[in-house]
Amino acid sequence: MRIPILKLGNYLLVSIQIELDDKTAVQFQQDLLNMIHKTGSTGVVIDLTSVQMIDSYIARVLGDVVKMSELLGCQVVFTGIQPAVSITLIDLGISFRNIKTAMNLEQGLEKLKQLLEG
Amino acid sequence: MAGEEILPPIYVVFLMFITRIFLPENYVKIKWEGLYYSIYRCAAKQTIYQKAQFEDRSATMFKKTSQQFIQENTDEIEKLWRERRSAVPSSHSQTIETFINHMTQDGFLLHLSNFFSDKEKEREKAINNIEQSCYRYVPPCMEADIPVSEVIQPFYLIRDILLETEEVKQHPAFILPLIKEMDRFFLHLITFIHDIYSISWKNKLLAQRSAIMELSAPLIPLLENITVMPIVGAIDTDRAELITQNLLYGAIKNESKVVLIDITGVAEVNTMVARHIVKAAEAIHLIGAECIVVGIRPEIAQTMISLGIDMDMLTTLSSMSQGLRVALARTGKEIKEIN
Repeated sequence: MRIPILKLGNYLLVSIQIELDDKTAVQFQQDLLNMIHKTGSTGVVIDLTSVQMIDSYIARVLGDVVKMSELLGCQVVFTGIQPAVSITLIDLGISFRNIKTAMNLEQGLEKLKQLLEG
Repeated sequence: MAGEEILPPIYVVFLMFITRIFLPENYVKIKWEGLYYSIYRCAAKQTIYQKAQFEDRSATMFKKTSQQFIQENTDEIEKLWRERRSAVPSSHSQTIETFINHMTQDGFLLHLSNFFSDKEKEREKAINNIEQSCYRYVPPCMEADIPVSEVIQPFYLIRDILLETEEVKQHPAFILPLIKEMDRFFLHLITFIHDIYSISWKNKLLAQRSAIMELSAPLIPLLENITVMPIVGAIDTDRAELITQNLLYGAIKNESKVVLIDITGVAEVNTMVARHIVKAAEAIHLIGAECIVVGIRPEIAQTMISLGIDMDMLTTLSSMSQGLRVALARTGKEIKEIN
């Protein structure tokens, strides 16, 4: 199962609508980095609205994606993390302190715009 | 052990002689030690069996005697008991006296004597009856704010009375089993009274806790994108969870960009409280909003620094008005005076 990555102007848009397993997550990491390299995008929005569960491994993979993307000169914003998911992550001790977040896709795109232009 | 057949030692010795006559020398030599051993075992078994039988008989006798004794001398024991009770000073003597009177009217001594019965059914019935009277008469003592130790006190007295009777002095062998049996009874009774008390405390505590929970975590949508949560009172783990959940769901519902947590009303901020606040703030960050903690008093700042609590990733401010100004700035608004 591969997660579709959409191109929207200078940005990339990813909506994760399945429960992530380890294999899918790693595959997604590779696909996204390849896509960033290919298109030269400057920003990515990853929407997690329909994700109900994130375990520590997936969290680490997602955290790595952000750092790797930044190495390629691309900012990442997570949107729509569910309250239950955020509580679980905090309880696991994963605070994602250096990661940008927004409540929904609209605000996420706005935030990306601010980061890149302002 | 009773069903096992035991060969009397005399036959064994006879057998030994027979074997000595009829069997060749070598064979007998080898078997000799084994035979000694079996004689010894037979003898030992018989002793143990007799002893057990004796103990069994004396236990039954003791139980029967105790049961009879209590039933025959009920009035006298009650009288003695009353005297002893009046000798013990107590601030709640009247309520306790009523309680004990109710218990005796319910046949406390009869149940106690039945506890010595050797029929399992009768013992169970005695215990049940006692428990029922406890259910009936302990709650009034509880309502009168009598400490559990004072409710239990009289039962120790009756234990002493029974141990000091002439009957027991005449049969010193009874003392140990009597203490053992009575302790079983009184331990059960006392634990039961304790249970009644602790269950009622627990219920009270639960009721109060749910009352607090209802008042616990209100969320105020102040302006568009700005939400305020004032926290008043002590924070424990349960409440912290409730606060975090209310904050997160409320923030999403109001589409807040900034959430202000006001801890002016939190009396004591210790390591645990600080950790809960940091956790809540981090969770808010994850769902895509920002958290500002306001109402930090000087002494709170002092404790936090001396405890080494890391609040680096939080925006903290001393007052609500400052917090509001920052929140407005973050959402692209400002307060203007109108002339």
